[in-house]
Amino acid sequence: MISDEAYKALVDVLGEEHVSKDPAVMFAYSRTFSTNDLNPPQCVVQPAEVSEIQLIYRLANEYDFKVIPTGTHLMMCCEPMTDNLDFVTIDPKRMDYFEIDEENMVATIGPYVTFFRLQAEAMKRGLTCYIPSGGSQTSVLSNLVYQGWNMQAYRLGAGSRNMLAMEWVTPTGEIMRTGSAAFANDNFFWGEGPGIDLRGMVKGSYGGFGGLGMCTKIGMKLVPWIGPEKFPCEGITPDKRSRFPEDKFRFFTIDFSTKKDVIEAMYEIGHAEIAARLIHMGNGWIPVESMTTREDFFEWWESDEYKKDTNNTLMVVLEAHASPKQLDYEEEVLREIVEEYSGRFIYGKIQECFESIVAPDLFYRPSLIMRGFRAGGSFMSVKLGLDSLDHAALLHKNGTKFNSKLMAKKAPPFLDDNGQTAYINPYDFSHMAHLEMPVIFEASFDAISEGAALIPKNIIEDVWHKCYPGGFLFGPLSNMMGPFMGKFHKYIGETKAMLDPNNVSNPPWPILPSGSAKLAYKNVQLYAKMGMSQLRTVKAGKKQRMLNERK
Amino acid sequence: MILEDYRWDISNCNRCSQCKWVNPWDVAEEKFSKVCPAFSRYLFDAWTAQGKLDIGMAILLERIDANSSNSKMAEIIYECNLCGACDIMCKRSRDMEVLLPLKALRAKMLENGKAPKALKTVIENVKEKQTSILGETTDKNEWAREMEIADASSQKTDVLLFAGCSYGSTADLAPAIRNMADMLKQAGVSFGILGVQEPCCGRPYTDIGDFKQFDENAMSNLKQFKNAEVKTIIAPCAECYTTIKVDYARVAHKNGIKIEFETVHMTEYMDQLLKAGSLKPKKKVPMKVTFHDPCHLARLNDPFIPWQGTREAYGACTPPKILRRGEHGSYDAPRNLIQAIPGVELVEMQRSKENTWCCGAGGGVKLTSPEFASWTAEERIQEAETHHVDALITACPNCKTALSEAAGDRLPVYDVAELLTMSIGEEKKTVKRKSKQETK
Repeated sequence: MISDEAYKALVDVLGEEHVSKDPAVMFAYSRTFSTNDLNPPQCVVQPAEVSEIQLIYRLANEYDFKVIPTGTHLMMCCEPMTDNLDFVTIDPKRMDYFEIDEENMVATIGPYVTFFRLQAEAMKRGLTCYIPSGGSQTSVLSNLVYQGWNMQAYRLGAGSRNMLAMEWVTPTGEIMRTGSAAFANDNFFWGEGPGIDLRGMVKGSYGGFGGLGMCTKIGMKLVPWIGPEKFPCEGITPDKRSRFPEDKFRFFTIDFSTKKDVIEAMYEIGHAEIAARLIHMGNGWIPVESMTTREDFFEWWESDEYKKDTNNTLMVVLEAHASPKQLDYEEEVLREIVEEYSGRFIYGKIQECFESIVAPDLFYRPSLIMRGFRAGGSFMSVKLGLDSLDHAALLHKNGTKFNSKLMAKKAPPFLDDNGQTAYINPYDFSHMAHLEMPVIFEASFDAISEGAALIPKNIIEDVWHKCYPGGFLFGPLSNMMGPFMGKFHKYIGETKAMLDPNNVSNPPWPILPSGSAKLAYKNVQLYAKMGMSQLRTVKAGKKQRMLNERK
Repeated sequence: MILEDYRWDISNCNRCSQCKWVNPWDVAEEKFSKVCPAFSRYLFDAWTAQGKLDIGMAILLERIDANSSNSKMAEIIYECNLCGACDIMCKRSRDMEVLLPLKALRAKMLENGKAPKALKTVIENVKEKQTSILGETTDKNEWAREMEIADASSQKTDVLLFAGCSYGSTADLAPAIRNMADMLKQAGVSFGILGVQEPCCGRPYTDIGDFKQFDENAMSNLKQFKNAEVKTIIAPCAECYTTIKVDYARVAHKNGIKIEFETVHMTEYMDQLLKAGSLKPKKKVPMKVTFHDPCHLARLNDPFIPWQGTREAYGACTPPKILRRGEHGSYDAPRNLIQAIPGVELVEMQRSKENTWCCGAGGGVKLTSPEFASWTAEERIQEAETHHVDALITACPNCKTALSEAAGDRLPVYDVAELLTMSIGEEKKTVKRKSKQETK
């Protein structure tokens, strides 16, 4: 329980109305999307300004409580992960300010601004932004300082490509500003500098999970939008359909015979610099996205017709930014590529669902993560990769075999989908790609634990194949992967020690104490135990297996 | 309705936060994009559906004492309009109940003696005077004085006009119900009323969480309707409408009773009359208006669908369980009526239809947290004002009252029927309360 003195100090800073240690209020912050228990903080605060956040961190250092900065509180790093410590959750709902600079196509955003609100205002001005599949109801700023993976990345890039200047409160309560915000009088239009880009220190690839302080304001790129001012849709929830203007948007679902063909086609499409949206979607996601009830999902999932049509599906959207002729040109090029790799265009129910539900949802105003919950009740991405398309295909092949063996033994609650829910998402005209392999399961604390336990197993597999593994639990598991990957865990550990000498900012994120494999928190203890034992096995057999592979 | 019955639903909340917002696909401007009044007002997650489900989980796991006097738990649970926005938005992507566990939480609070006093007072009033309206009221015959409407308590009538407590007992609302009755007569509809025999629909029992009493009240009322042999009940109050149409159907099913009548909202009935040519709005009414969808007419209006079965692998139900998701709300009828009036221009607020923003009066909040109720209504008025309308139209007396109080002189608030009257007939004067001498 947070001390009376600490509580009083917080009330003095924020006012009684914006601080609570009421047990009922605490339990409303005890779960996230992948929680396997109720983990409430000891206090919740709602600051309105950056100066208040500075004071909160300073009080944390003074009174020895821990601080969890959150956005919309979806990810597991928003729960206290360590027992026997006092956590104060920062709920930024009073910091939902944003501004759009239409001329320079920049938005400046506070921590609680959700994607759909920003996009709605941007669209009125002929602009738009990327939106991650976590859903348009998530926090823009949180996603930008996390990983920013999104399904528009083929054209719009990952979060790191979209973030500009930042304002950051360090765990000792100092303010750090990067880019133009450092010197241009509260203008966030420029991202780099001055000098060494400190965004890498606090954000890097995956972000600090709240362990390196809190971002309080950020600049974000907006991009041109050629669609209508209002997101086009009709119908009554949940049966909504979206019809984009046909003279500006064209939608295609294409199936290929082999994974190799679809990967090559993606490379070619990128090389030709056509298409606005591109993704290889596991065919499991079409019913997930399209169906309005769980029973409808399973009916379609189990139908032969559906499986026959979609094995290696590519989803493409063309946008006429220049002119209608551009659309015609891009379609002609696309058809040539499809023919070259023996693909076939899909029509009928699948295409209709793609055009009116799946594509608007994935590519324009997503709610993927929520629709993903409908099928079983929960899901978790147990394998992630971020490298090239070829790497993604390799991970997919290995991951399908690997996870299917595990899931088949435990179906239900796991859905043995034979890799059909995996997807490969290209970035920057297919120069890069990420693979994600979700596992759908029926929500329960036990199933969530088991699902999460698949992550370190997959990471070991990936390390074994010399692949860059992803992982939402990057953080505590960095100690496991670091030795194989340039010892990056030491760098992160030293950054943490430098910025947060008293370890007040959401421990144990982003890394375990340097050099230590002892874990003080129950949630990842199992994962680490499994990981460490497998690591020893891997190390012992590594050399021999590598030799065998070379033969 | 006990909390344990919803353990599966409560455990399925993944904290996606959709329960807080308007359907994102329907958002064209950021300002009016929140759909949950409690979340908008109090900001802490405990006041949201997700937060209350977390509290429910904590109670089920005995991590929190439901009896605790050291917590605002009861206050949080009752500071909710039960408007169903959270339920519908969650069901956009999930197959789980949200509103029902919130109601079960109220039952839990009542069981532990934590229900608000204000709601207990209403219950006593209902039991004693058969009206949920506190303070100065008229008896339920008063509004129909001199209208020569059949007494359904003593004569058989196919069509029963169920005025409800608000229209039936509130002098200020009497002109509106009189207009409606007049229009029905003009349209040639033969109908009756129960007058002083008209019971309360029982909605206050739901507000406090007393589902046992609700069911008993419903059974008694169903018996009364059966005795009157009505075939159609017209309810001008959206809350009465949903209570009779949906909740009584549940009670009837539970008790093996067949419901032999149809329940329609006044706007739905008038829409039928309009289509049949019996209602003819002819006079021009040059007004720009917007329509406030009452929650109970809109997303809470899906019929009761009985289900008995098992939940199996992946949470799939056998037989499939059809969830009530607001797809069958009465969205068109009131709009048809408004748009049939010559000269009226109807514009839509962002938070319309299934996304409607509660007027603030629902869930007993007007009595338990009047400041919150006023705040909520004020939000709605501000939203209407951004469209520069001449009036705000609604179709429920509770919405009308709440919104009128917030709007004051800034913006007239009319029921759909009142607007129709401007085009069809003459407006009725306020019913003058009888003096004590006249009633002797």
